[in-house]
Amino acid sequence: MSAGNATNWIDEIAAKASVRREEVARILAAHGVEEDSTLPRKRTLTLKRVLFRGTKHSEKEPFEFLWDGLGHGIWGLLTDGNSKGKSSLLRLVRGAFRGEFPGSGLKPDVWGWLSEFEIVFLIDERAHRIRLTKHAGETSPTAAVATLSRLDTATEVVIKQGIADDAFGKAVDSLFMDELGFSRVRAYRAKQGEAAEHGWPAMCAALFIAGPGDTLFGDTAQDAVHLRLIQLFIGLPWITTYTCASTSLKAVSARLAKETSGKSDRVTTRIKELEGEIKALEVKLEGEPDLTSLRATLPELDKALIEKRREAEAATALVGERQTQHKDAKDARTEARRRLLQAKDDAEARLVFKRLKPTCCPSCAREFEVGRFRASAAATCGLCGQEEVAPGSADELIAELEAEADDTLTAQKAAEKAASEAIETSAAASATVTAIGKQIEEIQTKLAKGSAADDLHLSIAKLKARIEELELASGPSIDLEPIRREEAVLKAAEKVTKSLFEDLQTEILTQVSAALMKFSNAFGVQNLQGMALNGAGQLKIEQGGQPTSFSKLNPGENLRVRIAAALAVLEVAKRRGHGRHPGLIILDSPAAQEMSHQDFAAMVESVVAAANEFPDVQIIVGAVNRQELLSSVPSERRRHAEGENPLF
Amino acid sequence: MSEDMKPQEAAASTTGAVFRDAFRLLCILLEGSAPVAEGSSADGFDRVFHGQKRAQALVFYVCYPDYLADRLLDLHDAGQPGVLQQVEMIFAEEEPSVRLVKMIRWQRGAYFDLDNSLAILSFYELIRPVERTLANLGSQHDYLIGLKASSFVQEAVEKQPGLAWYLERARLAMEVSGLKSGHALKAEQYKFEEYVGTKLSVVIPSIADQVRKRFEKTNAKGQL
Repeated sequence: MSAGNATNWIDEIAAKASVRREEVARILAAHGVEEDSTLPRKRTLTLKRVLFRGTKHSEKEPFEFLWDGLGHGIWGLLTDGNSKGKSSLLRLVRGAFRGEFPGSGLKPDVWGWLSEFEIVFLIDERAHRIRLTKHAGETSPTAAVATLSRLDTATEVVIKQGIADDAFGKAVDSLFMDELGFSRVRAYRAKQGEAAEHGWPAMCAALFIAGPGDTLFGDTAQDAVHLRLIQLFIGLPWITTYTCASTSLKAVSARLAKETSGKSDRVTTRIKELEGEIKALEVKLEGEPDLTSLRATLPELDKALIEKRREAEAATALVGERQTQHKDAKDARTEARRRLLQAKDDAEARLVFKRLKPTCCPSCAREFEVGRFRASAAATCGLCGQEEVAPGSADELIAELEAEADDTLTAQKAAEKAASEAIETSAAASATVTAIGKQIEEIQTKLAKGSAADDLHLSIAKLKARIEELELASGPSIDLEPIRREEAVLKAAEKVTKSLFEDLQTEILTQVSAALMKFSNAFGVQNLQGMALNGAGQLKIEQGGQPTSFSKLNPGENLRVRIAAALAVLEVAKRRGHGRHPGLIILDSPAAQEMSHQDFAAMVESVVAAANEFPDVQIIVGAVNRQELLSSVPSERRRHAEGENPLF
Repeated sequence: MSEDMKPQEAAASTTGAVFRDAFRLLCILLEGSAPVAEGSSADGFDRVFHGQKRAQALVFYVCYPDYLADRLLDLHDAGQPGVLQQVEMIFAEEEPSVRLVKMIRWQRGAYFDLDNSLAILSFYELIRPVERTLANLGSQHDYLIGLKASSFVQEAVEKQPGLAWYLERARLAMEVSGLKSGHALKAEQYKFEEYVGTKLSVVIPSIADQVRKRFEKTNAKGQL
């Protein structure tokens, strides 16, 4: 896979992590993992001028060392004897480049002498200056004033000025990182549980080679910085993306591990159980009577009971009344019928009796005289002398009685209806009274029984407190799912990104290894059969038929391989055309480690060849003078303290 | 009848229903009569009804259908067939209230002034009241009755079917009374608590409700 497929970078991660594309983009952005398939333009760093002024402890006259007009190519800082100021100068240069004063390894007396030091350098074509001033004889670093400035054609723009402390170092760091277009190397230190970041000082260290070192490249192997530097200098794409993803992944994984280990399954289960208990209690609570509101309903019910009872009593009274009325109506009806029947029967009986014609007096039983009743016009009773009642005279009475019977029937029916209505009303009222009474009775039973609500509330509160305690002891209960997704995305990002440069890296490292082998051989590292730099930054060496490693080389070999590595990187970078090495290499005392004339000559030749081969490379060699150097470095490119003279 | 034996105010309907009352009494006398001894009939009166007290007792059964019904239920209980239907009819027709003719309680039980009825019946020569000396030297009112009365009643029932009820009821009253003496009948009637518990001069109350219940109970038992 190559960098050309980068357009699908996020899609590939989304597919691999099984997370939606939008979320992938969000997670990557949150961690600063950016798609970085192209390399920024290569920038070059060139030392232009070195100025060192001061007053030596034993002297009154100040001294001045000025090396101006420096540029690309090979430059030599030579002394005929040792301790003539070449290492002090180079260390001051190194310190200034790192923004550190007095810088590591500078002899205290030299720091004391110093009253003014500056370097002017170009980043591409733009001139910058780092300058330090203090009173000669002053040794406290806080007494020094450091200035970082950009030198435009006519003016000086001060970027940072102040005591030479960390803040100044940061300003220098920012300047170089920004101007050279470098990304910081990020790493996650699992043991300490923290993220580390390496900026300009770590990169700058790779530019200075002063004797043997622990690492092939630069001054630290921590957080695989040396490998990152190699990747950076030879121009591997995706490295920043990969580093960033990998760092974030480690941090997220660590966090996830902490979250999950902090809260054991047992605790989670226990919390779930307690929550279940709470739920059960809450269900119970719903079924419990609310005594206060129950008690509040009682007066209302009592009032209703009294009212309904009154209504029921009135209804019962009405029933009695209506029933009496009904009975009266019935009686009236019966009486009417009885009287009607009696009248009818009597009328009929009269009719039959009147058909009889008695012939004697009912009183004396003698026969009536003939014509006793004939004289009268109307029929008159022979006995009492009253007029006989005409037949049918009872009809009127009967008709009246019949009408009365009808009326009483109507009245009876009405009374019956009214009575049954009253009964219904009364029954309903009684039922209402009974219902209310029952309701009151139920409430009173409940009140007497009491409620478990208070106990339940207390139990729920206790359970909640226990959950809180458990959560407190085991860390907050957070949803791990988003973190898991984050981890998956970063893991996928790391893998996908790595796959994008892995093949290329292997190929480049093979080339670097070959160049390293070539230079090492030339510099007199003996019996080398093979050198292989792997993707983990380890250099495997086969020497005298035995496998060995960089750390097992003797100091002389170590230094030679380090210089070889610097040149190898430069060479491969040049060949590939992608290298991002700033092009400045400063070698201090490369011959110190028991180097034979022959080997030194080979090394100088290689260095000079490299300087010639790469037009924008500047190599400054500080060394005790040797013939090989004098013949290889033109005199105008040399500062040479001859004989017993110091450089300053 | 001596004055002291009469209540101060007659409870019976003395006006307005004299002919009905007379006809009722006639039916009772006719149904309750027995043939006179051989050779003692005179003027066509060949039957005799013994005792005014007995007449009063029978009148009570006709005027109070509920008491009659109760006695009929006694007969039913004693095993006489066909009686229950009679009782059923009595209640179905609401006779205890509609046919009720109120009587008052007097010294010798239920009392109804029979004098007007007897006068009418005598005037029309349907009966002849006679007084007879008893073996214990006391006297008893008997009523002679004969063919004329039976023909008259027969004709009346044909001409006025509404009057048939009185004849039927007299027969029923006789059915529960048999040939018992007036004294025996009164003794029977004194067994009714309501009857014997009624104060003098007060109308004898109805016992329709309890008799109806007795009937319903008996009827239900019979249908089981």
